[in-house]
Amino acid sequence: MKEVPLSTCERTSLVSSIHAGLRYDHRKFMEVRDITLNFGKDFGSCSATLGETRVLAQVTCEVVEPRPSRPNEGKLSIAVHLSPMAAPHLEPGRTNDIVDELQQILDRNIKESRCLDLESLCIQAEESVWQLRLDVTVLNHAGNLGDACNLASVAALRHFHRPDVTVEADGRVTVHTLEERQPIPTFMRKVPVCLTYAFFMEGEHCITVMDPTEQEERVMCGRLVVGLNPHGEITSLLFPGRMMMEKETLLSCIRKAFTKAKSVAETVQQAVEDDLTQRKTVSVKPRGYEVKNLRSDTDYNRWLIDQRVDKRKLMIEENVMPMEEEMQDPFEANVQQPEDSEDSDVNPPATSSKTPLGPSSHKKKKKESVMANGSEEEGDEEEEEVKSKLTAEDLL
Amino acid sequence: MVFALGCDALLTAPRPRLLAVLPPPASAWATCYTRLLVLNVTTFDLLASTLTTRCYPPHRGPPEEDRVTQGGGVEAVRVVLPGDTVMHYNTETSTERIFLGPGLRWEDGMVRAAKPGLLKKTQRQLYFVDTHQKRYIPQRREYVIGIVTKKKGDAHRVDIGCGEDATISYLSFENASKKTRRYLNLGDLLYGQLMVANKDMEPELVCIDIYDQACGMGVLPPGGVLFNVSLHVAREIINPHSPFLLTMSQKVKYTLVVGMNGRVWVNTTHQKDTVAIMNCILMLEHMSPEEADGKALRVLEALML
Repeated sequence: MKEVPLSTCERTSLVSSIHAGLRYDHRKFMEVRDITLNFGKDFGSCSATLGETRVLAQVTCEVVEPRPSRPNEGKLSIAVHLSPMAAPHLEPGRTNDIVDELQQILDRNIKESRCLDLESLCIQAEESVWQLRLDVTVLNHAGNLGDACNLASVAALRHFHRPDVTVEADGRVTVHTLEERQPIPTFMRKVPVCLTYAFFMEGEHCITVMDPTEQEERVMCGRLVVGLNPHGEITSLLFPGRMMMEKETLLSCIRKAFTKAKSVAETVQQAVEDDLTQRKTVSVKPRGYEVKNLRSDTDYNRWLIDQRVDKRKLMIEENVMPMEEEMQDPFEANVQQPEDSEDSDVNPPATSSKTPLGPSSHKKKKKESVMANGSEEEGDEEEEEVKSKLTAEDLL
Repeated sequence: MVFALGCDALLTAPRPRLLAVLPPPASAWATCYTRLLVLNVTTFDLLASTLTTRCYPPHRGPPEEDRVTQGGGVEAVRVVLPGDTVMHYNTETSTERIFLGPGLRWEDGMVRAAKPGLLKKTQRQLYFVDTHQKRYIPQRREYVIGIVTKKKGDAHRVDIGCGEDATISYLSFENASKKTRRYLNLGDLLYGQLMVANKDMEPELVCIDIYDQACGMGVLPPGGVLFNVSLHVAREIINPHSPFLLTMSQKVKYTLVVGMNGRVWVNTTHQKDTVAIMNCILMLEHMSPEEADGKALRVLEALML
């Protein structure tokens, strides 16, 4: 099926609303959608969601012969699958620009950055090594596939355990089942993070928006995909689109990306460790996929709506009692919450009403965005006051 | 007149009139047998409330007790898959009078399901399959919003969200003649009615009614926001019984155009309000109409900050 054409109305209204400082989903320009990571019962299967974008990554392993040029290194192959399930206009089995781009991003971020210790995958030099195969399937395309695919793949690779092997003196290799011996985790030194910025030109001025949705991706002038890790290394840089940009804008984006990357990497590490420790205590049999933890889009959207209404309530209370201490409270409360809601990655959103998703990173994001947009926010608040007065008069 | 409810007429109409459901003209029924009525989606939606309760004169509106019980009396029979036999029905031998709604087909004396979903039945023997779907299947006489994609001789190609593009002749606009022809730009939005829609021909749009009046149809003005919703949400919005639009209008003044193909166009004086209304309508995707209606004002307030 062909892609639905973009009407002039959609294009102009989205651009003008971005110029007016408003995104369709009411996010701040530098705000990222919520990240959740869910792990299957199997080792190395992870589904990541970024807002409504949903990606499933699965790692499998087999014993193969090593490359003659690198006799003591394991292999890693990455395959990206896009089907009409992700978006109806994508055709199955055929490579298109999106698949190529995703493949390139993942190859550079994960394979070429050498974040995975491939030498530990060697069983017998020149004889046999482990080959890890990473299959990334996009389940729903709602913008920013690069980030989502990267998240899912990294989490899956960190989560993956391969079966233990013993090599006997005469060169016989025994692969032990997972029940016989404790499986061995993959060794990943660094956590590669991928971040996407979309640019909208307004004359000479350039507006930068983080984590674009599908609609924004169709309208934007250009885009910057940075692959980096919290250790200060840039692993990939992709800058498609026909636009010119000043060096400073690009550099400031990358600088911001480094601070952001830290929190994202922590989220991933935390989520993987949580799941692995839980696995040890409950001793989950590694088979199949557990559906219980998956977050439904409906629940997520309802949660978003409720959040917005609650925020509004907070603001009303502030207006009623305009004390300075009260004004600071909500942000402090937000920062304090992560400790008690750390386990909420595991809980479905319906059960825990307060902060059901990806909590720690989410809260940190808020704090950052508050710091970054501090000056802008003051201006906004003035406008808001004027607006509220106007609406009140209208109602009378 | 009934069909104009999809457009501005719905918002300008005074409240009591909104509750009146007019029985559609007989010609609007897709197929009409003596005791068996097969309804298409549009007629079904307009008829459904009538059939579940009682027929009443159009100018008076439903009596008070009907408004309370509307939508009641619907019984979910079972889950059906395409091809499942629902019942045997022969127009000559069966005496019972039944209505078939969308998702059901009558062939060779058998009623079969054509869509997967929940088979429902009302007290007045109206059967239909309740399904949630996003892909639009064109139906004659339905109002849709299209995007102009191509100029082709004396016609334009318009994307209406179904498998095939629709065409619209440059003459099928109000006051259009060969000399005063209407120029459409690529990417323009059109609100029109489907004249031809069947599985063997490409759909054809018009922007006039039988009296050559535009009646709210035509090219949508610049500005505003276009977004997509599921088909059942689009029908829910223009349901004359649904108070959702009126609830929102207590807060903001807006113009809304709903196409049966799931495209909705909203415009207000401020961009901020437009986006708020959009998000408020999108809320219907995730909750029941009653719940959304209860939350609408609070959400709007929060979004318009």
